[in-house]
Amino acid sequence: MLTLSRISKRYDTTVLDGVSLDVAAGDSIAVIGASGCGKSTLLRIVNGLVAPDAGSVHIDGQPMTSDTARKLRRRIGYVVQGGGLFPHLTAAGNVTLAARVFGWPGDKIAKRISELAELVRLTTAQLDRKPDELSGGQNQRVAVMRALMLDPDLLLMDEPLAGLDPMVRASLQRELRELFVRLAKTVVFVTHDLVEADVVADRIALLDSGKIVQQGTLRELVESPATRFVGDFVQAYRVPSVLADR
Amino acid sequence: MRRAYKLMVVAVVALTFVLTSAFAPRESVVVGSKLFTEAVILGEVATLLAASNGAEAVHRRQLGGTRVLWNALLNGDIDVYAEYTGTLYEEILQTNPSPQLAATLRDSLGVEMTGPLGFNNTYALGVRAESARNLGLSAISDLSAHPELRFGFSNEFVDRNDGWPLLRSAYRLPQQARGMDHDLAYRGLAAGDIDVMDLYTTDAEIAYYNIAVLEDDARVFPTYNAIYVFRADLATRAPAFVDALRALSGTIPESLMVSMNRSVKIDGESESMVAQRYLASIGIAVDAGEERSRLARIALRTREHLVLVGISLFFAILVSIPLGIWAARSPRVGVVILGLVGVLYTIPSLALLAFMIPLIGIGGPPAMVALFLYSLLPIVRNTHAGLTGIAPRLSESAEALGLSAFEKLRHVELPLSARSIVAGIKTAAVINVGTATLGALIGAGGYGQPILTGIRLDDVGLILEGAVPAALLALLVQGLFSIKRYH
Repeated sequence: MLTLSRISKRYDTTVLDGVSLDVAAGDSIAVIGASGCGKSTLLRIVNGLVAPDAGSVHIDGQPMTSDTARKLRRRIGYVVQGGGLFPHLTAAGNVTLAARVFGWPGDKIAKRISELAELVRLTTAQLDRKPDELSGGQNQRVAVMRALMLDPDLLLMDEPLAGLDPMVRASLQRELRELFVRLAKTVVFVTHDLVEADVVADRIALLDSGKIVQQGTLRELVESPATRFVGDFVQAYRVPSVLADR
Repeated sequence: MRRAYKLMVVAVVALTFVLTSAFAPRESVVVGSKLFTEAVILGEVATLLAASNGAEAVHRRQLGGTRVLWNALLNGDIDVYAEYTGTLYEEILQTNPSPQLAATLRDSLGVEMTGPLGFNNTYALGVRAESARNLGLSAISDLSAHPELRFGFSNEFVDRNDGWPLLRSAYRLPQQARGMDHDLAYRGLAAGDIDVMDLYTTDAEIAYYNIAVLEDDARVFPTYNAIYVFRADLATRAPAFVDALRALSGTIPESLMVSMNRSVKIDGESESMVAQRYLASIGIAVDAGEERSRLARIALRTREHLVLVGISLFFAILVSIPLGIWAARSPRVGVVILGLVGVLYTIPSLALLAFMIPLIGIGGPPAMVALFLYSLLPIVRNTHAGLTGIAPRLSESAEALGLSAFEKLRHVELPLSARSIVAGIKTAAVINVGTATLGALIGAGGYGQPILTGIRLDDVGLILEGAVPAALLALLVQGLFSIKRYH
């Protein structure tokens, strides 16, 4: 479904150096790494917002270029860091903006929004409020709803739960996981939190110094770290105790 | 927010159309006048006469000096104004007096003139009667023996070929002359700030201030017979009026002109009333209509002022927002655009208005163009600031939704910048209301007109009649924009 081949990008302080990645349809992968390691840039490249210096992105075999970007993006749901909700629109206005611009009929929009509201557990009253009248967790739900509105095949999420308090965060992690499984979406989920990566995604890809140094489940990363960095990273989360809890 | 924005656009468009109609009926006869009272009275005479001969007549009062009036006549901005033969020879044609004057004007310039109205308003120099006595001054040649005397001359007189330069060389005068406003010169002479001033021989103030007129013993000043000059095509457009105008020849002796000037300047009557009484005395009954009440005058000025501000602002919005968008899109173009509108903004208003006269002429349109140019900076700058101030992740989100550049602009970027853009429009509107008062200097009317007349007649009431509504309108505009923000 999604294929990245040898993506390189030098971008301010961020460097990607020959990143390759395959995500099969319906799979979810969490890209993880230290702050500033280029995780967000990788998502921007997948979405065509940034062009790589070298390498290519294919979605269902179609190359992502400046010409195809706008068309392909309608099949990609994207939640930017911090949600990126438009403050001048209500939650519903945010969710339905693209559908309205692309000329969906009103009844189709209404049907879709009620489906999604149920899915992310938002009430009609909440949807009529503007982002600054909703809590951080509610805004994240709205951002997820907006990304799902056009029923995309591919979902890109950039630290969607950053800045939420731990309890909200934990419950949203489980909800997102259920959502991905139930909707069978292909998901690339960027986070710096190893536990979150494990809860939300099937697979973890660890990014270090511009390269993906290891891919696998949390257990694989813990039991056979490919590099010293992987071992240190996993250590930092005291993962053995986390695994023991399960 | 969006509905309010649309509503505002509709309101501005509607307002513009309503107000434009104020300028719509093209007057068939446009009379102009120079800055001083006698010129305005003669302008009023011509205007009443045109109206009584069935023409739609309008009087563009106190437009400026000789050059402005003459060019306006040649350009067709005005059809007729009162001029003096000496000025035609010395200042406009720069030739010696000749009986061929009328033929020269008609054949080479398309301008006709009437016969002399009957008085010679030449230049003279005047001193306080008391200094004339004490120093034994009776003729201009006596002045050369008193180099300590301070000369204060009207600005035009200082510069004109037939004015101070001619006088100084003819009489070998050692003094320096200071340029000043003619009306202020009278007050300066009376107060003893200056000792010698230039006079127009029909000035009512000569008697009022007890001024001794010095004899032009070297016969330096030319004859300044008052006449009307008018465009040759007026004879076909308003033949009855032209006949009536020519018939005024010889009907205004010097004593009558002096007394008409006194009625306005000293006794405070309106020019229109004085002109009407004169026409009645030579058997021409005119219907000047009721003298407009103060309220009616303010209403008229308000309409003119709103037209100036409304139209210039409307077009400024139309042009500035795309320019601001362009500047925000392309930083390199942005530097140029912001630089240009910034430079335009720094041109002094008076200079900008003066530049407009040769380009567009006089009246409302050049004033609107000047106001339009001033309005660009605040709106362009605020549009640019609003767009470039949008958080990158919002802009990225819009793009990630698959919106095109235009869809993103329309649904996300412009609404997010609306507050900043509206603030820019508000700034432009308030500045426009103030600057538009200067439009009166080039015949655009508005609140500046009573201010200008008030300065000429030294009438504080008239000055306030323009200044107070202008200040109130500025406050009102500011208030309207503030109310909108709470919706």
